[in-house]
Amino acid sequence: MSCTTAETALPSDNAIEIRDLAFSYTNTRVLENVNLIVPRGDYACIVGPNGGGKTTLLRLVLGLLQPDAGRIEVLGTTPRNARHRVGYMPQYVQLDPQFPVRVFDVAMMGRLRGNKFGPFTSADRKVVRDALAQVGLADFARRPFAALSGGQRQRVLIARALACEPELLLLDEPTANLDPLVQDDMNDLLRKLNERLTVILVSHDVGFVAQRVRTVICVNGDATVHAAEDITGDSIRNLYGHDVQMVHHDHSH
Amino acid sequence: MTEYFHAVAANTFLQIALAAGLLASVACGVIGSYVVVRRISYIAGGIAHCVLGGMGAAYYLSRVHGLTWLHPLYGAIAAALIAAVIIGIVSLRGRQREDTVIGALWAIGMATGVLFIARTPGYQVELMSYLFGNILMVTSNDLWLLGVLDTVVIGVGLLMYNQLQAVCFDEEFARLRGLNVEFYYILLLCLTALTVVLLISVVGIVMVIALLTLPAAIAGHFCRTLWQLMLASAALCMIFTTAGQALSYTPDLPPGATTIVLAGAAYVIVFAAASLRRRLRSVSAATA
Repeated sequence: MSCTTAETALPSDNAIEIRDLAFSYTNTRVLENVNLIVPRGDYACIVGPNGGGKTTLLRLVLGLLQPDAGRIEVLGTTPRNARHRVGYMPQYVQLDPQFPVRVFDVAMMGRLRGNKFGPFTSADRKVVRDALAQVGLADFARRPFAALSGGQRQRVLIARALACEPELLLLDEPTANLDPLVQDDMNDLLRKLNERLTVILVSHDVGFVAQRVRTVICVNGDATVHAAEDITGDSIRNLYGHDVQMVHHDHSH
Repeated sequence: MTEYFHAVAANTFLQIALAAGLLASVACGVIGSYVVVRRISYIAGGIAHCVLGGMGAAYYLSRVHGLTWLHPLYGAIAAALIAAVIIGIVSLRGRQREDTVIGALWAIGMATGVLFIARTPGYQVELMSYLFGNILMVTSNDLWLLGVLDTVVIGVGLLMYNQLQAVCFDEEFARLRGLNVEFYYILLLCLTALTVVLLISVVGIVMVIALLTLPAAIAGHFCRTLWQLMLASAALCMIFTTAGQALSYTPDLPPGATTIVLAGAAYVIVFAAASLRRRLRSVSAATA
């Protein structure tokens, strides 16, 4: 499934490798001394309080922000060079809900490349059909994106990320704005995708993810990595400074 | 109305006006759709008003300094493109003060144009026709120029459809796919600028934004894809410009203003019908 690329990237066993990273917005230091390794094949969740730097870290990994200090390697190369091998899913609420576009055309955007012009090929279409089938939306291809529910729209955006044929899938709050049953579906889908992809998601919802992912990355100015099974009420209290939704979302079967 | 159709058959200048309206409508449908979905009508308005500076300068230079080849349309094209690039860079860099800067450029462009026209000897009818359009003054030479502009705008607008759609829908994702988002944004503003120039001869600088956005706003109620939106807005725009000329002929009204009033009325009707339907639906859902 992995793309062949022109770069002579050294094969690395790590999806993400971060050394001594620091980042500030004009005067506010958001991240400092971040050291982090996410091995390939991992299923990791970035958690932490608002303003702790979760989204900033994600944007640094995507190469949308430049670090002040330190080094970030994604799939063995710079974030910018790795971009086309990374599938990114933003929150659907960030997009214009009235934009006139069909589900298939949204997913098709995953096939765009900066150096490619002209119409999409039939190979592109096939990749997109497969991606929609994987998220269970094969029958929705011709529906308007605006007519779908929140959970369905979120899955279209995952299909769009999968259409990039990524090695690493990055998801920004995939379960936010979804009701609990739909959250469970989402989790099943992500777990299935993790069988062949590295999956990293950002969530403010610790209780929900802690029982499902393999690794929990706590980000609050710096980053600490925990195996998901070691996550306890105490370690979460340490991170947030108070109890969080641990109990509220404990609907494991 | 019938009087108009007889007159069109007999008069070349009416045929040219009709053709100019139809030509401009195609570009208007394609680019107007991008403008509406990307929500940059205010920026389009700024570009449109800056055009007066270029038209005034060209008018002045051709009358006072004997540069007779310098057609006001060339001045309009130059001013529109310069305004598009400046406004584009401003809105990409200084996010917070974007609207202030656009508002300032809007007025400065107009003021420059007014000054140039004031220093040009002759009748001041030119100013009125720039501001409010005078489609009946389009010559067959102008029509060629409009045709070339139209072809460029539509060609680029459709060739880059996939890229422009992606940039309008989700700029960040487009950037991650390696698209040069800034380039496409400025390109879109330049295409908007050229479309504005096309429409100025139809409805004039002041009313350009209405014709650029109203057809797409109306079509948005029925269309599910950007393609459909472009086709439907182009068709609506053709209907408005043609009907505007036909209805204004017998009572001798300004065709540009008639066109805009028609488009505005259609928009209000469609908007009211859509909200009525939504209310009826929610009532029937509540009683069901």
